[in-house]
Amino acid sequence: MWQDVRFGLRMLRKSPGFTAVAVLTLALGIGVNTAIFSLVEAVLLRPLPFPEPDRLVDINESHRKDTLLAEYGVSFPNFKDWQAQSRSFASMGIHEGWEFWLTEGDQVRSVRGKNISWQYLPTVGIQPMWGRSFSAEDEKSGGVALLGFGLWQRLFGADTNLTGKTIVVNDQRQAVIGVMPPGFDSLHRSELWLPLLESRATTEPLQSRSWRLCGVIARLKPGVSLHQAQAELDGVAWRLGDEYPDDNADWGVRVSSLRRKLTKSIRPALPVFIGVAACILLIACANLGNLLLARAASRQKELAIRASVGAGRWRLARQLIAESLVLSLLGGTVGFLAVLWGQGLVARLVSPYMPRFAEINVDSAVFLFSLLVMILTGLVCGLAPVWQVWRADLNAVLKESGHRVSADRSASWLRSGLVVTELALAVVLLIGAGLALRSVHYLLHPGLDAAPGQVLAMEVELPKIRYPEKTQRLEFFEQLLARVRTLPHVQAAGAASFLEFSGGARSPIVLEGIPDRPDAPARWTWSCSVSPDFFRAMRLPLLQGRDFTAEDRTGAPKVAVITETMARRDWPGEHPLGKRFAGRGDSGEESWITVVGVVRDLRTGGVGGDWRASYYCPCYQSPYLGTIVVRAFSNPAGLAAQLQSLVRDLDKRLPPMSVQTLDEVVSDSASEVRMLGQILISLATLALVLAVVGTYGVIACTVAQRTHEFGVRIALGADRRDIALLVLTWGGRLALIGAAVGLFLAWGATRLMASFIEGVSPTDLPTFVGVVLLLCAVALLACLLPARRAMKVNPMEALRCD
Amino acid sequence: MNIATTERNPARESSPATDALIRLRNVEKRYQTKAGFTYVLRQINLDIAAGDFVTIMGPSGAGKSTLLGILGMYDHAWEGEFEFLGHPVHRLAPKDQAALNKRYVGFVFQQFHLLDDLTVAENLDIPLSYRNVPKSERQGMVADVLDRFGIVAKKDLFPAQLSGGQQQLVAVARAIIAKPALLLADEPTGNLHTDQGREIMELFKKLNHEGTTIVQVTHNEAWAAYGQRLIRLKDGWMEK
Ligand SMILES: Nc1ncnc2c1ncn2[C@@H]1O[C@H](COP(=O)(O)OP(=O)(O)OP(=O)(O)O)[C@@H](O)[C@H]1O
Ligand SMILES: [Mg+2]
Repeated sequence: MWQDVRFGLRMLRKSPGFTAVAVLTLALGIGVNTAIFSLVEAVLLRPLPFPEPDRLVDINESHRKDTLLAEYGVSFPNFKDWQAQSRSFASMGIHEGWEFWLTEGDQVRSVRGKNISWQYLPTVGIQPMWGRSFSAEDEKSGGVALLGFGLWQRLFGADTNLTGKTIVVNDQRQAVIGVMPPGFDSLHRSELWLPLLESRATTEPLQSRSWRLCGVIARLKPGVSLHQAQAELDGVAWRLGDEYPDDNADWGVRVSSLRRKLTKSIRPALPVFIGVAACILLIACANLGNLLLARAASRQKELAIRASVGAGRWRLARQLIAESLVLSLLGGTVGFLAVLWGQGLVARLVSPYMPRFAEINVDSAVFLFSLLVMILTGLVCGLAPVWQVWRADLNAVLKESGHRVSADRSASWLRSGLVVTELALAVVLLIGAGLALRSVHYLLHPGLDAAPGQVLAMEVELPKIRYPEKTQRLEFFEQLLARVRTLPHVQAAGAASFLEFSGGARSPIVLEGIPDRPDAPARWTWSCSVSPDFFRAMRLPLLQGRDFTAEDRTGAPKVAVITETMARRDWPGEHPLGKRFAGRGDSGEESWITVVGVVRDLRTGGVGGDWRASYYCPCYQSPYLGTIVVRAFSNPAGLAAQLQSLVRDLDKRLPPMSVQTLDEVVSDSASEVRMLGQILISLATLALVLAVVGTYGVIACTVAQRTHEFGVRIALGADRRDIALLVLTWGGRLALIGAAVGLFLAWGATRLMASFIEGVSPTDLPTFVGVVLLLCAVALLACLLPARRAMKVNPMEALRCD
Repeated sequence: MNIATTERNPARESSPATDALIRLRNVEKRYQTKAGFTYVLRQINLDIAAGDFVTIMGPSGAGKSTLLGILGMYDHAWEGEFEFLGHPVHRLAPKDQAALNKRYVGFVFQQFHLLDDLTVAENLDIPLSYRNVPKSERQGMVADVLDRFGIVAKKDLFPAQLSGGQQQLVAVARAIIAKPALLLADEPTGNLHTDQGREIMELFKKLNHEGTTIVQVTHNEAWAAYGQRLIRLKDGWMEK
């Protein structure tokens, strides 16, 4: 065997061009697979960095009828009852809230943080690096805090001495009692923890069963399965439903593994990635198989001589496979090294969708996988030439050394088949990438009028501790807007509670005159507070009625401007102006809201967002503003800094606010598809390049084999054009068959993507047609060079017998 | 240049200033080798009139096939003057030479050069397919030729399934199917039994009577006798 390997190496050194192409092809195929596997391993296989992580579960409340609420938050009293009435869990912890205001110097910043029950950390099984964890005592007295490692470093540098260290959170001084290890903050995205105070738990709304805004993490008792725990909590939930029908009717529980929960957003993308990686590997294999076949054909004589001096079929096979293995190990090593070198790239692409402790890196499992792929690739690709050599009548090769053995027909069928496979797989990937592209394009154009690049959005976060009253906050916004409007270049400025494509809040409504039957589907409706002029700044055209004015104040009748979609849904075929609706559960004459206008729809919320039924209410009646929107006359360079300094002028203690163009806000909302799109497009391009190289190789090789035929045809009167056409039709036929097979495969495969793409069907006709055209064009391009060579065949030379 | 394959005898109709079909003056052919130039043909002066039946003989390597290649206008790299039907071939671009070839020349190759992947009938069809003959007519013409050569039964076989002699027969049939004015045959009987050889020669004779100009290469004195003229080549020189 060693001798075979040595000989294989010598052969490879003798044809460096072949070796380079083969090694590169394999490096790409194996490299891509190694990278994708490292991602899959991080998401699916590597244990979470907690003790006995398989026992950790995440518990949600789940509405039995409304699928939108299938995985919802938990209310504190329900958690208490679960804790008291279940036996499946060793411990349960609850966490609540998402940000604190931290005073640093004279500024107040928002920091991601949570109130946690003292069991939370023991449940997870992680201790502070130094200092201590919360105790049951702390839940009564408070005044203590745990810091994430990063935050600790920012505030106190490398100092590991906790004594006397305090921070001011929400205007209250807290003693720092411990520092959590690095990486832990990515669990529940938090870098600051305070005890969930019992005293707070007695105040509204934490004590309400319908206030479902907490999260629950629990550790199963050893030997208890997820299903047993689920069944037990189901029972508890039914009892609670009977006991508190007002708040708990129709609410069940969902227990899911913590890993599943943490990898929720990346998980659906994995089948796509795995599929893509498999496609690339297959293409690379087909390419290598083809190269090896071509080489075996040109080496028939050498092999025949070996056979004639007594090498058996197995001996020949061993030699061919050894060569192929040497190649795939070489290529695989190059690919593996490339992945080692560029491993940060994948991580960076997918990081927003991964918990940070599921770091993507190359470990021994990845290495073993890579090695396995190399060996399998080498074996499979080596089989092709073995098959060809076994079939060929080597004696005939020797006997008729003068006469050209007519190119082995079935080998050329095999080669064409491999090329068709490559092209088909490339088509599948291209269609996937095309769909992602179309989807990104769709999401980036949410129906905003011209030039969203000329619109700036600034999120203005006012710390509740400094602006406790709604009216104070409203006043701040009014002052800010008034100043903004005096800036040069500003065309219009308004404010809203949030921009629709970046989030929102939703609640059910009832219509006046239509009885609200509990069995009828709830009319879930999004709502958003806006200032006057908001629609003008966004260029959202009012289709009917009017914009808000200063008259729409508290005390005045409540009014709303609704979207087309809401008008269509709630008053189909009717004139919506003057109609009234109210929040479900609100009562009294003053809760009715009158429709005073209709605006055009805005598509919202990234993937899964849609044309929302939503209404806008005036900020004076519903004073929640969070973002100001400023439309400039021209490109607003410099305006961002002006806006920020206006905020500072109003309140020096506010941290700098982030300013984005509307374009950027929209594009952030599409970041998930964009990531998928980027990955797919780069891999599909790669696949196309490989497939084209493969096509070129086969066509060029065929042209070489058919030189004699072309010579005869030219001698018998064929024009050069006829010959070129012969080559091009042949390539075109391969491309068409490849495209047809690819379309068929894509028809099924793109369904994997359905949950990522928006605004484009998984069987989008323009994408399919476009990809076929692209493939044919590129395939013909690959045939051009061989076709030119075919045209240049000199009949005199081709017809010489030698 | 347009093609008129179905004309009975274009050579006779379009006789230009000279009545020679072929006129070679000082034609030389050489190859560049490591040792310098190797001359394969030297100072060839040759006139062939329309309707001639010429035989070329000479030892192996004398340059017979080379000369035939030049006459057939497959070879463009030589010196001297060559007029074909009054066209100065030495001044024509390869493309125009190919057009002349296509219009007037049929060629029987020394090694047959049948296409392995095509049946006998398909092989016969190739020249027609490159000469804008309508499909319907092509089938008739192929059938005629198959009949004339007595190989109708073989029409769906592949060349590899034929004997050497039968392959030779198909090669000749393919050379004349487009009714060329000039038939160039490089040892058309090389692989044939005497009987089969005679058959081919009789066929040539008949074609020649019908007006086809024929230039053949042979080693067989008896077959040479079918021609009206004999040219002997040796080391690239024509013997007078
Ligand atoms: N490409 C080439 N380079 C160098 N010499 C060549 C080349 N092609 C042909 N020759 C030489 O030209 C000479 C004439 O060859 P040609 O094929 O015309 O001979 P021939 O008379 O047809 O012989 P035969 O009876 O064996 O067919 C030969 O000596 C051959 O070696
Ligand atoms: Mg010869």
